Amino acid sequence: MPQIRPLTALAAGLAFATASLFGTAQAAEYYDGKNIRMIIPFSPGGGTDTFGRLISQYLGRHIPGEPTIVAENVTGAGGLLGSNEFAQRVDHDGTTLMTASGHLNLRAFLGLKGLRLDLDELEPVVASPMGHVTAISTQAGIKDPSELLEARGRLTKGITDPVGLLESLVALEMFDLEYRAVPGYGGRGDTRIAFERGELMINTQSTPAYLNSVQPLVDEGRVMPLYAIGFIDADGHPVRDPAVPDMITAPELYEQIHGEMPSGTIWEAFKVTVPLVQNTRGTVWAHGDIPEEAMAALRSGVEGMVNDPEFQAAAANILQGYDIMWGDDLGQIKASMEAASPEVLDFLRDMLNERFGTEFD
Amino acid sequence: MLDALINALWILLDPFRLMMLFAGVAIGIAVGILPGLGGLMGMALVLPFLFGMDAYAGVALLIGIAAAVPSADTFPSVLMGIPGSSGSQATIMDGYPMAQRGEAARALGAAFTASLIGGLIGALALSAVVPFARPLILAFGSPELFMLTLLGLSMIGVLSGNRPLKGMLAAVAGLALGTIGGAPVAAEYRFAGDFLYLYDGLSLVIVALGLFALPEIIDLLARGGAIAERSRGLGHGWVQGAKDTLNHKWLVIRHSLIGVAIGAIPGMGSSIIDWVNYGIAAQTSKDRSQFGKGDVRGVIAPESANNAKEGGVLMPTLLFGVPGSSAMAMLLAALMIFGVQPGPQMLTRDLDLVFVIIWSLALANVFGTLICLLLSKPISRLTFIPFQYIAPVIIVIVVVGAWQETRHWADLALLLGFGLLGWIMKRAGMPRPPLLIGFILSGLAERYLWMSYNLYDWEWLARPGVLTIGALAVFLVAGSVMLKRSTERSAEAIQHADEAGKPNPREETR
Amino acid sequence: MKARLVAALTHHLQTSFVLAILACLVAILWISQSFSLGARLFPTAVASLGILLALLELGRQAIRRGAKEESDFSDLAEEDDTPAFYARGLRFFAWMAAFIGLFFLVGALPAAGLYVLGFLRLQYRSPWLPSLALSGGLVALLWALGVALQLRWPTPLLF
Repeated sequence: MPQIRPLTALAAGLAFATASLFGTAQAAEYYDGKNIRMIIPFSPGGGTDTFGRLISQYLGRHIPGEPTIVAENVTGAGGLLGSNEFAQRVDHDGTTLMTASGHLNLRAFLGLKGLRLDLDELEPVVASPMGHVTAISTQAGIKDPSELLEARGRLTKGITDPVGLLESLVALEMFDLEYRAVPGYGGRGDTRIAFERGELMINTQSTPAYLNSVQPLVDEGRVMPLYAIGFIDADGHPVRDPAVPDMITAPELYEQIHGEMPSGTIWEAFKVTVPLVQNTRGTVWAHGDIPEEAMAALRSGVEGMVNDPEFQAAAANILQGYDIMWGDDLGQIKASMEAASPEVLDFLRDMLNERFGTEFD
Repeated sequence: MLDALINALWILLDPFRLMMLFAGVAIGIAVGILPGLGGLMGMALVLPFLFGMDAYAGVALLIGIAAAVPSADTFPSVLMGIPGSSGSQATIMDGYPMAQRGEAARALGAAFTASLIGGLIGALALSAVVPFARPLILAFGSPELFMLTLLGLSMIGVLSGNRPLKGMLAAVAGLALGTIGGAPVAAEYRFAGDFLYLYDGLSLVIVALGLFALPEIIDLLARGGAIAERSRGLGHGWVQGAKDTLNHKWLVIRHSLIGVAIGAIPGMGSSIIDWVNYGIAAQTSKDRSQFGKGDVRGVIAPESANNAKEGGVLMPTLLFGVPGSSAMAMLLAALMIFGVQPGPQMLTRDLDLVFVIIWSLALANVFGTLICLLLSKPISRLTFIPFQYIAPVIIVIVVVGAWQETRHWADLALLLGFGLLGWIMKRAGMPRPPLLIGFILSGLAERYLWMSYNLYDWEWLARPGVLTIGALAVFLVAGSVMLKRSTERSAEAIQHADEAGKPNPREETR
Repeated sequence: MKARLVAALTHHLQTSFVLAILACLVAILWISQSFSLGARLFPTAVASLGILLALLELGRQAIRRGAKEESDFSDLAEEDDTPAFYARGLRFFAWMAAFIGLFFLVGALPAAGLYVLGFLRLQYRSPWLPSLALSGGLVALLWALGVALQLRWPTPLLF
């Protein structure tokens, strides 16, 4: 992978440069008098929807031509209807964008049955990352994360939608922990309540939700944080979660327990899954084949937006401590997808299929 | 605490914030009256305006919408037998027969007064209970939630009239309909084939509109004339309705509290609240003969619970950051925009905001119901207009409302299909409410049963909460059967008395 | 002929309806056997219970044959059980279906206007003035609602 990445970055940079070279002349007109429709394939409310609405609110005024961006929730079939509409039923002319969640990206990446979205044909415009923290109830009887494999009792972990929790499941698989998956929860919030109630023993939350709602339980001594999922840098090394820099990451904990870094397919799967999910909690996608002037206008709009103090003020609350991803940084998203070998994909699909019956095309 | 309460009122009395509250109430009334649209839609509408808005004003706006919807959705339920939103389905049962008798204004007066008191009790309960609500919310694990779905299903007996067998069959059909789409505990799509539209299952809005709205419209058209017969006169005005509600103050208080309690339990969904309350009111009444034929108690109970529930659903929303209803997800999004983290520390860090929410809830209920009361007299006159002029308008509005659901052609095809089903059920003497209840509870029952088993094997059956709720369900059903027997006996006695030439007590107005 | 058909249908409606439910439940039972365990158990249990109830209900109907049953608890007594009434009802369903068809063909607002006008003029022979006024008023109302509530309309198939 390390040899692929600079190439992709270079290619992306080149594309960007040429796009801006050729684009600027017409870019001022391209969005003149046009509207942009922002498809959000989820119900209103929730983190990804709010991110999409934030971008819809501020991006338009910075795009040359000042198009109005109208956010539209196209719900149904767990995001499939909206995604498929974006993939198949709209013109690829830059007047339709889509806000996807990291988990929707993962679904598309793994090729979930019924989903027609092909990420290879899309270009990210702007994205926001989000870390996750896994905690364990003290009922499991361990005093330190390094004793994880000695945890006792029914190690229940609440499952909302297995693909939606893949990064946390892959981490648990990496430790080879015997846990009991309990499917049926409505959302991560529901698993948090069940965790607090003592119904669930292991729970993964987004880092801000962890800090806000699980930290008090830690202070009461009822819960112990195990590890942050952490991020993966361009060379495949684990990086601490910027929102909880003092917390050990899952690969580091593995190294502490086993004396060596994880390896093999499961580690490759971890390195693919984590950046894909955590870098893209909200991702705004455009079709890859939109006119170059449109893409250039979008890119310059994003640049204007992230430098707009008004946007920064509004975004601070929604990004919850993470930096927005734009420009060259977005190359990471595509790079992590390209880095995935077919074996890793098959491994992930098999794991989801055997354990939860998830079907892929 | 008291300081903060008064301080919050001053915060809210700022002209701009009050204006936002009013705007919210106005939007809530509009989306509440229009069948098919609900609070979620109204709130999604204003979300873009929240960026950069003052947090108190934004919260007042959203709470204004949430509080006004359950008042305003009574209009179509009572006047046309059409559920205005998913929260007012049970109001149809007695409100609509009252309107057909020419007593629309009275039914609306009773409903709005009950809504007002219920809403205020909800706000009061929220402010009083919120510091202690965490243990209550945490007490309901998957096994207890499963038992609550059984409690909901036990209402079917009383909603099936004199044919329990047909009622149960309808409920089972509803349970079966609810299994369409993604299975709650397995990654599998049932009975959907490759039709993505069905992956999420059927929409409650479409099913309810189809089952209740279309058959009513069709039959009224086929029969000709107006909704109410003018010969019966205008009936009693809304003042009479308000008096009815005040005469049944214990009923109002009891069902408001039940509404708050069920609303506070996350994971039950608020669309079952009106049915449960209707069922309980009917099950625990001595004289049940008029339920379903225009008993004002059948309007009061669900309407008080319906508004009070907003106080309940705010508890898990604020204390745990878990939305108590789909509209509350929007409030959470708004709090995120304002940089407020929901959770127990809200009670210390953002106490002002919590009290502003409570005041907004109370004031919005007052404004909302007052506006609805003022509208009730002119609007109830619509029931006397020849129906051929009303019907096309309603059909257009129902179709447009259903179309907003997912904007898929299948929304409208299903609307028509369920309309036909409801119409045939009416002819075949098959009660429709049990079908709807089975449909609402199907996914919940399956989900919580599996989760209970996965979490606790069979040990969950012995949990105290499970046993308590189970006993309550048995008690309600058994009590209702006994009450029914005794009413039948007294009805026979009355019949004998009738034959002896005494006046029929049924003609008295309560 | 048509009237006889309708009459036969209405007479046996409650039985044929239960039979239809029974058929659906059997189909559900049949199809769900191909699902994985987690998806299969609930539909299987529900369908089995339903089949039992449907058979019981059919038995009850066979025993109490001919007895005219009291009308539904929720639905008011229906005097009009005549075939003509059914035919009228179905005609109004057809009107509704026509509106939905128009809704997709020409778009929401024109469909609403045309439908109200057509319904009042053709079905009820109402005078032009109130028909036009109602149709125009409704289109204006929908337009205003569409703007105020950001309602979304279908893209007309015809143009």
